[in-house]
Amino acid sequence: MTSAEKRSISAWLEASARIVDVGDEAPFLREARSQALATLSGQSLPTRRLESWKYTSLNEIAKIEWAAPRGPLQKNQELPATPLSRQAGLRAGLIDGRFVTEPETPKYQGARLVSLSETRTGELAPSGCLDVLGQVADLKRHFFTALNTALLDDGACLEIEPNAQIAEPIHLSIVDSKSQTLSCPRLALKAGAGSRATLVIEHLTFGDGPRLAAFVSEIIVEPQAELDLILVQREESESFLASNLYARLEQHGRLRVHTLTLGGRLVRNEVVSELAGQGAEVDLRGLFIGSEDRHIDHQTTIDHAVSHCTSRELYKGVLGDSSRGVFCGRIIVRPDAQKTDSQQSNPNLLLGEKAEIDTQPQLEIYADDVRCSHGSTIGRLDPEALFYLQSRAIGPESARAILTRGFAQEIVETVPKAVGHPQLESLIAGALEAATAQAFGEGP
Amino acid sequence: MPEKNEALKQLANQEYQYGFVTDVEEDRLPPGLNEQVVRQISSKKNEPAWLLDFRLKALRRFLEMLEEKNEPTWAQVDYPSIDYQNIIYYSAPKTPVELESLDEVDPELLRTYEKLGISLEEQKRLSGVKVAVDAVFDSVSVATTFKSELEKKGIIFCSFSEAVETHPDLIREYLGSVVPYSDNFFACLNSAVFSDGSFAYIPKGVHCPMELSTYFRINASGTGQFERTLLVADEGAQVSYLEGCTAPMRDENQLHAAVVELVALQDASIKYSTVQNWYPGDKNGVGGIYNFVTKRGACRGARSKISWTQVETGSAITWKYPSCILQGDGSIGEFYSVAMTNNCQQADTGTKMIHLGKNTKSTIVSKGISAGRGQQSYRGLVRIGPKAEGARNYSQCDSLLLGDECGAHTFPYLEVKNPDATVEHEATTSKIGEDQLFYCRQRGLSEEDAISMIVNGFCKEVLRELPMEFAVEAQNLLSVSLEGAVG
Repeated sequence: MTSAEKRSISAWLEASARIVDVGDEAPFLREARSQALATLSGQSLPTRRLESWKYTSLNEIAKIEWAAPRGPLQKNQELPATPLSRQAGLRAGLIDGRFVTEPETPKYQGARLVSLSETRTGELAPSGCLDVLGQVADLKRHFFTALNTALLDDGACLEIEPNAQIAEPIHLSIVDSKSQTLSCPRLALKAGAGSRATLVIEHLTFGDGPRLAAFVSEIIVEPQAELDLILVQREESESFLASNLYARLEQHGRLRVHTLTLGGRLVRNEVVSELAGQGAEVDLRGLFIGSEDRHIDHQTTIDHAVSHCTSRELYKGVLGDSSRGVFCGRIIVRPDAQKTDSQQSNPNLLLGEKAEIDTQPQLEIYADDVRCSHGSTIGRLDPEALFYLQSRAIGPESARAILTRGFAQEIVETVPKAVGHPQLESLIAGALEAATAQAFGEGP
Repeated sequence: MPEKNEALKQLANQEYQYGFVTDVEEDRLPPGLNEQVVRQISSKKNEPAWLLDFRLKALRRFLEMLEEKNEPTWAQVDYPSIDYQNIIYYSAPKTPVELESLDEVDPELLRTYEKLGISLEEQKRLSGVKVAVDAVFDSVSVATTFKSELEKKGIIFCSFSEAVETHPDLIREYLGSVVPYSDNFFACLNSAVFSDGSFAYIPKGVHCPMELSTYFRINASGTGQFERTLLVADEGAQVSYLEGCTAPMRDENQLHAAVVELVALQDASIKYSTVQNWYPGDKNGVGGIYNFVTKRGACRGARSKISWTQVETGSAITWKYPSCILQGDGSIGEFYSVAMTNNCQQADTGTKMIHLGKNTKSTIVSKGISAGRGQQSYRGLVRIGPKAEGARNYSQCDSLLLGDECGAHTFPYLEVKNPDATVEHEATTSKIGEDQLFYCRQRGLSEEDAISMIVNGFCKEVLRELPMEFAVEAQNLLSVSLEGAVG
């Protein structure tokens, strides 16, 4: 452990102990926090000796002395407007982990997006998602979830009422504004039975300097509910992000998660989805674009706990310069989960001379009547396709750009239209340009 | 489907065919692992000082690892911890080791081999295909056939201990050069206490005229078998090597930690085939062999090739990853595997393909069949180094499940550091299709025959890689295990 790491961790633990002491809220929260604190004490940042961190080193984080999130609750802070947030109906933000909403939130039919601290202290009517909090996340397995929970103070509660059909996307921006400070944004989401909604979570950073965010979201998709989740991660190049998402799907619940990783210095995504009710369907899609020496790590777990569930997974990587991508997709089929249908695919484009990809598509199957497959490919652009385009009078650079865009496009296509395809595409185009500038500049 | 369950039960009740114990006088050391034991093994074999040094270095490292509790736990297998001080590290039949012809071999031993169905006599009589057999009974190699014929070509094929005496330079040059003594926990144990094994050297430009073959058999109770195989193919040489294993029925688990090292120099080609049917334990998971083996080949020269083919139907636990280090430009690595787990068997097997040279190619085809309460994992690594321009890999891992209590898992690791490489991995898991079965039965096949046919078809890609006489045995092994099985 470096001395900076020791100081960071002790600062975090002290801050956590202070919050635990306040004791102004529901006992289960206090308990979750002290559990997390107990899990953390004596621990250091995960190292590469751990199998799940085999390819991702946190040395750079360990070198920086991080402060704990602090400061009074700043109300009336301005919510950043982005091309994506302009498409949204309901908006809120977590700035340095603090819930911020528009000064005058219109009363919104079918959905309620409120501050965790206000609803649990009684300033607002209690939110239905309080009972989601701490119920889905796995403290023991994930360091950053334990860290987030130990420092749990504020967050966003999103409750979709049963049978509500919300066409406009809901937007949650997550902003880190303080340099060298850890932020612990948290989201609890309950998609009520039979409801339908889309949530866009956009990660941003303001200002210079290194940031560290440990973001945890917990989601329960109730029977017959359908939820679309779009995570757009586009922090500045000095930011570290650990985003841990936990979802539980009940009977015939449907969840689709799109993770677009376009920025950040080091991004680690953990997506754990449990198919807990028959007929549930989960679809995980990801696009990660790396440039310079960025590091993007995706860890996904799809747990088929009961029979007759379906899962699909498609993660695509485009890696330029000396960036590094990691993908570990784990599919578990429990002993009684017969009639499981599961497919996973992870194609990757390696463009940079020093780029690297480490991929582990894993199947763990304990039931026999299942259909499971996974595939993974790594390569560069198809020379025949390039030749074809060039024979149609398209220059080599444009041909490469066209093919790379086409490769990425597949992920955008399944995002609901209302989120704003042109806006997403322009964000992706920007990231692709950065990733391919060097690789495509040379010409044939 | 009661009929189906009945058949599955029969499959689960399949008894081990090779469970018999041969009474041969044995020379053995007391159980335990310490410097004295290692020195005794070494002196029994009249080993030179450098080899004793190698063993002692390995022993020290192993004892360190034991103290640090470095026994690997990452594999998807579950077994009670092994007491390494309670194992007999040397056991040899008290027969003269130097034998001129098969007639001098203890008739008791010959009968054992006959029961195994690998009668040396019969193999000698095999017309057309000649097979040279170096049989390892417990730890000492008892008979090497066709030796003189091989000598004419300059091929060295003998027991490891003999090679230490007659060709110390070769052994010294290559021993531990592919699997260093400190490589992993079990290889380290083997390096300290290995008792015997086979050694083969194919000189420059020689194509070995026959299949070389070794049969391993663990006989004495409470012994671990630690053999060591070293195979060197010099420039332009070609060889095909067969390895088969059986063990008698014993209640306690027996440890088998072998090391196999292959070296292929420029343009050389080695084909290494294994049929493994060690005692798998009874249907409740009592007894059986722990098969913890380190197998690795180095394609040192340009255009060299190493091909591993394995049919794993035995052992209570299999922990085995035959690997290829593709150093030479344009070298080729292949891995073809069929693994079958039944009853309480567990297998964690796969391969490693390390691409270092330019334009290196590797192919992985792994077929897993899981029945009863068997648990089976494919664990493979494909690593493309930064200098491996134009490297190419294709992996395919398919699992077939028979019965609802078994499991099949896939853990591939793909690490690519060169953008010019192409790597593809595919895996599927399914049970035998009801429609396939229905179709076969409709055409008048019994359910058993249909299953056997489908399983054989499932494994065909691998079985066809085996040399002829092994392919027959492997097919028999699979259908014996599947007798009466309906999935």
